[in-house]
Amino acid sequence: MASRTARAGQTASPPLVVTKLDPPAAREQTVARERLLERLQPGPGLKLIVVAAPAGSGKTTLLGKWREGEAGVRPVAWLTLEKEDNDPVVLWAHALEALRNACPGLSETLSPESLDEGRIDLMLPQLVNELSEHGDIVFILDDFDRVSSGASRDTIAWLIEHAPSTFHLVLASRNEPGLPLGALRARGELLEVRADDLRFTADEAEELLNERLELGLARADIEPLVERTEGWAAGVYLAALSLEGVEDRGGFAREFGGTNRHVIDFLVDEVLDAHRPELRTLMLRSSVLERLSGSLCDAVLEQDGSREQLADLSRSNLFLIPLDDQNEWFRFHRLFAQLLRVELEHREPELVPALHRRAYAWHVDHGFPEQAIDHALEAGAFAEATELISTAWDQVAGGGRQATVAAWLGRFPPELVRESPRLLLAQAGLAPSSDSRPDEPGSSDAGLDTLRAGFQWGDVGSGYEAALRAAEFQGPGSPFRAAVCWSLALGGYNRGDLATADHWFAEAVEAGERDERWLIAASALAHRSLIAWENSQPAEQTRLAEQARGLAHNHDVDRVKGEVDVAVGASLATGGRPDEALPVMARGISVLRKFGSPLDLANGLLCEARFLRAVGRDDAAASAIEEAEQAIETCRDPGVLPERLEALRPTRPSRRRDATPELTERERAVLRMLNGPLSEREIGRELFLSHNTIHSHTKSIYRKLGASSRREAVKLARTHAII
Amino acid sequence: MGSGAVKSATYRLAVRGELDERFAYLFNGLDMERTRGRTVLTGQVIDQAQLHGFIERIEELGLELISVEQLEEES
Repeated sequence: MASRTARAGQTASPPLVVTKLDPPAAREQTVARERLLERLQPGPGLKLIVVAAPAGSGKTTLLGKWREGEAGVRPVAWLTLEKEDNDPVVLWAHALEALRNACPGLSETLSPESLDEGRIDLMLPQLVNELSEHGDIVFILDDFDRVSSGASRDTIAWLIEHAPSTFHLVLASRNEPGLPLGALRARGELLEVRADDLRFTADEAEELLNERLELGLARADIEPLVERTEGWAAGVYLAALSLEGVEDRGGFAREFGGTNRHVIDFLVDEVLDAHRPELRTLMLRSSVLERLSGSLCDAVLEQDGSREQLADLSRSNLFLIPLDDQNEWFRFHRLFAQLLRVELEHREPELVPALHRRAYAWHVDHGFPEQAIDHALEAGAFAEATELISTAWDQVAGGGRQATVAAWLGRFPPELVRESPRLLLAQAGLAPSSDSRPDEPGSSDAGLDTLRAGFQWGDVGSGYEAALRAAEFQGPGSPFRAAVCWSLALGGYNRGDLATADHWFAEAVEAGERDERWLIAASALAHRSLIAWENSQPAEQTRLAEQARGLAHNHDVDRVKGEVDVAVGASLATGGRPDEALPVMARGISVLRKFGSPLDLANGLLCEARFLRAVGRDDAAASAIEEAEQAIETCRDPGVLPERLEALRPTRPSRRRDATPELTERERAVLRMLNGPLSEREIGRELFLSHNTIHSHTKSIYRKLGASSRREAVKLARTHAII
Repeated sequence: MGSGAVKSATYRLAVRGELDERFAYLFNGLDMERTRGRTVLTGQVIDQAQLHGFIERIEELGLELISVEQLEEES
C-alpha cells in the first residue's frame, strides 16, 4: 500500500507512509482564493502560520493551492499527520523524510532510520543547526489536530522556539494547536487564518459552482446557499454535489433554505442519492477504511471492479482524494468519511464488524500488520489482534514506538489484557521505558507485577521467581519462549549462577533465532560471550561475541542492545587488542545508559572496569565502578552485582564507625539539595533525574549516614562536614 | 491531580442545527432532542475522557458547539 517498510520483515524503525508526504494533488475543480493566498506571506521574522478552522472549511485546499505557488520560490515540505503521529518517533520519522525530500542537502544522519533509538531530544538540536545553514524553508503540517499527545506537540513547540528565522512552519488544524501562540503573537511572529477568513463569499462560491463545477446557477440561487451554509466550504460543496442530480434547482434551494435541519444532515442523503447505486454502496462500505485501493475495496465489499469505480468517483467527487498519480490509493476527506460512517451505521449496522474483519484479512495477506491490528480491534476480533500484537510489539516498542503499542493495548477491554499472558508481556515490555518504573510495591496492577518483574528492572530475586512462573505457561512451543528463557538466564546471571544462565541463554538464542526475536538473540549471545570470559574460555568468548555482533548488525538491533558492544569489546581485549576494545565498550555503555535497566548498566560498567583494571587504567576503572555503584543503589535487589563490584575495588574501604561516610558524587549533590526547600520531586526536576532515582539516592544517603529523616540526614552531613 | 471529574455525571451538550437520530450512534448513550434549530444531547457521561470524546465527534463533523453544562446531581 502507500507505505513501505524500511527493511523487509521485522524492523525497528517505523514504516513510512510515503503518501503522507505528498501535498494534495492539484484538482481543476478547486478555486484559487486570491484574497487568502495574498495574506500567506512567509516574511522574515515570521515563525509560524496557523490555519485554524472547523472541519470542512477548506484549510487543506487553501494550503495546497498556496504550496503550488510557494514551491517555485523556496523548498516546501508537506506532511499530513495521522493519529499514529502521537508517537513522536513516528512523527519525526515522517517529518525528517519530508524535510529531506524538500532539501536534499540535509545530512544523512538526519534520516528516519536514525530514529531507531527514539532519541528525538538528540536529533532536534542537530536539525536546527542544519536548518540554519539552509535558506528559506517552508514546512506544512496538515491535520495538526490529530496530534493530541503532549509528547509530540512538545517537540513541535521546541522546534518553533529554536528554529532559525529562515524556517517557516505552517500548521492546519481544526482546533487551537496546543502551542504557546500567545508569546509568538506578542512578538509578531505568528500569522493566523481562522474560520471567518475561510468562509466562502458569494463571489468565491459562484466561481466554484459555475466556473469550476459548471452547474450554471443563477446568482439569486447562489446567495441563499452561501447564507444557509454560512460560507462553510464543505456545506457549499455538498450542496453542489447534491445539485448535480437535481432537475428543479430552485425547488431544492427553497427546501434547503426552509428547513432547520443541519447542513450535513440535509445534504448527506442528497449527495448519496446523486450518485449511481454501485458508487453509493462503495462510498458507504469503504468508509471503514483509512485508505482505499481497488484491491482492498474489492476484498472489503466482496466485489470486482472497485478500481474503476474509485477512479470514476474521484473524477466527480472532490471528497475522494487521490494519494498518488497512478489512481492506486485514495482516502476520503475526514469529514465526508465521518458522514458516510454515520450513514453506514444507520443503514447497515450489522455489516460494520464484517467489513472491518475483511479489511483485517486483506491487510494481513498484504503484509501490513499494523493496519490489520487496527481493523481487528475495530471488528472486536480481539483474539486475532492479540495474535498480531504478540508478534509485532517487541520490534515496534524496541524501535522506540512504545506509545503505539500502548495505544493498541488501550483499545482492549481491560479484563482481556489482564487475562492474556501475551498482552501482559507486551505491557510489561513497555514498563522499563515509561515513567512508572515498577520499583514501588503496590504501585501497579497486582496482576501485572508478575510479568513486569520478569524484566528484572532492579530486582533480581523477584524477577527470577517471576521468570520461573512464566516458564510454566510459556512452554517450548510458545511465541514467548525466547523472552522467558532470556529472563530465566538473566536472573541466573545476576544471581551468580553462570552454569544455569548459560544453559538458558543458549536456549534463548535458539528460540530467538527461530522466532526472529533478534533483540533477545543478540542479547543472549552477548551474555554467553561474557560468561565464557568469566570462565576463561577465550576461543568460545570470541566466537560468541562475533556471532552476537553479526546477528545484531544483520537485524539492525546493534544500536539498542549495548551488551553486544560490551561483549565485543571484552573479546577484543582478550584477543590482545585493548586499544580497539576501549571505544567499542564505551559505545556499548552509552547505549546501556539510554536503554538498559540499572542492572544491565551496572553489569556493563563492571565488565568495563574489569578490563580497565587489567590494562592498568585504575582511574578510569574507579569512575566506572562509581557509576556502577550508583546504578546498583537504585536496585531493590541487585543480586551478586555488589559482590562483583567490591571484588574490583583496589582496596576495600575501611568501615570504621566514626569514619566519614562515603557518598557518591550524585548523592552529595542530592544531599546538598535536601538541605533546601525543594521536595524530592522538585529536586529530581532540578537534577534531571526521575523522582524514583532521587528517592533511592535519598534512601541510600540515610542508610550511609545512619539517619532516619531528612532533617537528621542534613544534621549528620554537617557533622561530617559533607555539606 | 486536579484532572477533573472522575465520577460520572449528567451532561447536556448543545450544537447548532437539527441532527437526525442516526447521528446518535456517535454519541452512544446520550438522548438527542431537536428544538428550534439546535440539537441537545443529554445523558450520563462516565468520565472526562468520554466527554472529550463526544466533543471530538462534534468537531469531526464541523458542528458548532453552543454549550456544555453539567446538570445538578439528582440524589
